[in-house]
Amino acid sequence: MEKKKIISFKNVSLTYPETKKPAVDNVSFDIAEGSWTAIIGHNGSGKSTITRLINGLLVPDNNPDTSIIVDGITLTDDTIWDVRDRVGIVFQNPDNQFVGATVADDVAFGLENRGIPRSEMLDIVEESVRKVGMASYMNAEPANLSGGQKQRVAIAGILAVKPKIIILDEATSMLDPNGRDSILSLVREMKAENNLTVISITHDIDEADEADDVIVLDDGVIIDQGSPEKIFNQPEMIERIGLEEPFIFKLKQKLIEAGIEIPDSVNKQEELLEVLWQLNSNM
Amino acid sequence: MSKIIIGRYIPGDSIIYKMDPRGKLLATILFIFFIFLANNWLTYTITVAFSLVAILATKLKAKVLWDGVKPLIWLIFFTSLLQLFFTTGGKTYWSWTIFTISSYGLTNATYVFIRFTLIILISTVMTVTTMPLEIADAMEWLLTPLKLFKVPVDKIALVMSIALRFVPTLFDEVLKIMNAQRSRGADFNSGGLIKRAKAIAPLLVPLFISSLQTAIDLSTAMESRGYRGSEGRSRYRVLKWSKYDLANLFFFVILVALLLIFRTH
Amino acid sequence: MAIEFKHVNYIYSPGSPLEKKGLDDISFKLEENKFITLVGHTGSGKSTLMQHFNALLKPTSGEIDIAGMTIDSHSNNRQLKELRRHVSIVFQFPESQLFENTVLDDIAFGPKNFGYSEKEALDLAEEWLIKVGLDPEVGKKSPFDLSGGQMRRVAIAGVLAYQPDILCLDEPAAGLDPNAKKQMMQLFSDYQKAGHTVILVTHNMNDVADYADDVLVLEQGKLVKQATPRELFSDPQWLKDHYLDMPTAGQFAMQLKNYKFGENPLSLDELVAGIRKNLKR
Repeated sequence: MEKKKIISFKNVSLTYPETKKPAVDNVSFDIAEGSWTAIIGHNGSGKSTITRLINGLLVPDNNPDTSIIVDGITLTDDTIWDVRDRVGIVFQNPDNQFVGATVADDVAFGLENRGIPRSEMLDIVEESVRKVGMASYMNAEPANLSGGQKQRVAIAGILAVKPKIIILDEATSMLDPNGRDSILSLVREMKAENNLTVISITHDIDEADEADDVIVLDDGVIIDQGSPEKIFNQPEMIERIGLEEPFIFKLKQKLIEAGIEIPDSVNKQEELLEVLWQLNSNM
Repeated sequence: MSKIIIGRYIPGDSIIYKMDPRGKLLATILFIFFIFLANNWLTYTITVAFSLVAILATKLKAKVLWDGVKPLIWLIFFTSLLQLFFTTGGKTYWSWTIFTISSYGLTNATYVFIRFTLIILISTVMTVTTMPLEIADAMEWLLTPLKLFKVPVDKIALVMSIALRFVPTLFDEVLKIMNAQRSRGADFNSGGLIKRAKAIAPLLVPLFISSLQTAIDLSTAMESRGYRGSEGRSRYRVLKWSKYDLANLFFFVILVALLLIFRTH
Repeated sequence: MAIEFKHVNYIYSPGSPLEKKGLDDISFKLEENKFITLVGHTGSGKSTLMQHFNALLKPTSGEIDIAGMTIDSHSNNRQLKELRRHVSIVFQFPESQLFENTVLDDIAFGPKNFGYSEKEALDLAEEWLIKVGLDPEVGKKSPFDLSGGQMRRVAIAGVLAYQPDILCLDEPAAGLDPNAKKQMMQLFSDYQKAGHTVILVTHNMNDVADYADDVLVLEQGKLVKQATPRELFSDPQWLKDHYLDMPTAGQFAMQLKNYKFGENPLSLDELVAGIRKNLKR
């Protein structure tokens, strides 16, 4: 079944001023509504540039064949704010996106920008803060919150304006493992609850392995797109672009090298465990 | 730096905390003006009495207020001494070259001492019981009339609240960079003036760069969260007058009335 | 010349309403020229402890023997500079400490502060620029024209250039992509093998398993364990109780219920060898 496309890039390039080489070079891709897509690549591969192109923070190089369509809206100067209503971004640095003086103020920021009446705002802010598990911190100041808590608040601020797409722009890279896991499970929960489309820009491979779809970017060019199984069964490609394979794929590779028979179709931890259990009980 | 208490909020719970920041700010500013109405012992006693009530109503420890006055104590003494030695008139008790101690000088010095101390105490009461953000909100309210002259009061207010929000972040950054440079053998606390001025570059340059980065990140985040100028924005944070502000007003009017009645005309 | 902490306590803002215990009666002894890792959750006191190694923080009470010096609450600043020549800290995201006009000048800043002549310092800078894997051409550029990963290397070169005997690192690979991270960890491992002590603060248990000789575990300002990685990871229950993870290979092995591993495998190779052994029986 062909799913509805929620984001569609056609022939998009972006060259930063004072550079010759485009940071993103003639990129085309589609993202299905309700999917979780990971965009992976080493630092400087153009991942974050794509985020900023999606919501019009950056304007692509002029080219008649270029188009960016978000939720059926073609991105232009006139539609930029409509697109931003549909896309929420959690950025990398927890501190530098916390605008409000307190948790509640920060969550309200997006609502204020959209002129939502205060009476409605009160309920929405409260509900959003509660959803991300920060209810007891309504009036806390950012200086007294951990990085993970600040990212939760950022997510609450996004949920409050009810977007269709949420982009995690390396949102967990400055967090410790606990913070990282809790943010990812929160996003998973929110995705299921609100039928969100999630795009996660990351070089955390284990995070990418849980996606429905993976886009591999190298020096501004998409070199592959597909399921994690398809992408991570190409160890040479992953190595070449400076990334690492998920643990399970590395293990599978090494086991095969050690002469243990692992069927090609095994790509998930549970599947690999199953095969190994059977191998041992057959003996 | 950290010794100066004016401008540092201390959480608490008393009538003064419950008052609206606009009322507190206005009362503090007006107090600084109206204290000049006091010009005899009676009116000064009244002012002191009213100030004491305000101070006691905060339920703060005396030490907190003392911390507010302490950094300025020498300035207070110095100003009072100027009054003491350079005021002439009334009985002259002592005189040497340009210095004179006169009865007028004595009274003036005492008045100045009381006035100065009270102003600092009342300002401390205000800042200690009001969050910086609330003070910013109150200032925005005070500045509202300027909108008539096309002053972008909303934007100024947003800038103020963001600036306040980033003070602790900036402090952390300063500490972090200082520690990093100290680890590389930098010395911020010794040597002559030139050596010290030179030592500051390894601190200031990174601080500048990181503030710039913060500003860029922040504006990106604000824009992607739909910020497009003040027009059409609604406000989450609103200030509300309450019965405590009525008390504030009532109290203040009585003070001014008493001062007007009992001052020497 | 071992490193020894004797009943070290540290209290933040003593006597104020914000008083907080940072370190609580910490005692341990570390051998020199080893790779030590320091683990614990955010707020466990890791950074506080780390800042004691070169006396950016001085103990409120207790004593530290390090690099042939003794640090206590009375240690004076003159001693400290000598100490910092021998013990250095690389903080998280160290690229934020760059400030000079050129990369070489920035790397030379530390050596100059520690008494090397201008010429010696620049020679060292050139040497270490290459050792951290950067192109010699980069040396003349402004550090602010480099990529984030390159800036990180420059910052680290700036500390390695005066070759501290004891190198403390706070999550030095945070935010780097996997390849850059691997190279960086290799650099530190080589530095340790060349006869220096490396103390690494990390959340990553795979790094602990791969590199550490000795592990210190902190929790709420207290030292709750000092052990080799082998010992630490042999007690899954203890790890669970302290909310610490097993290395990925060990986690996987624990789920292979019908397999027997003599020792819980700490690396991918150990895991593969263990699986083979089970299947060959």
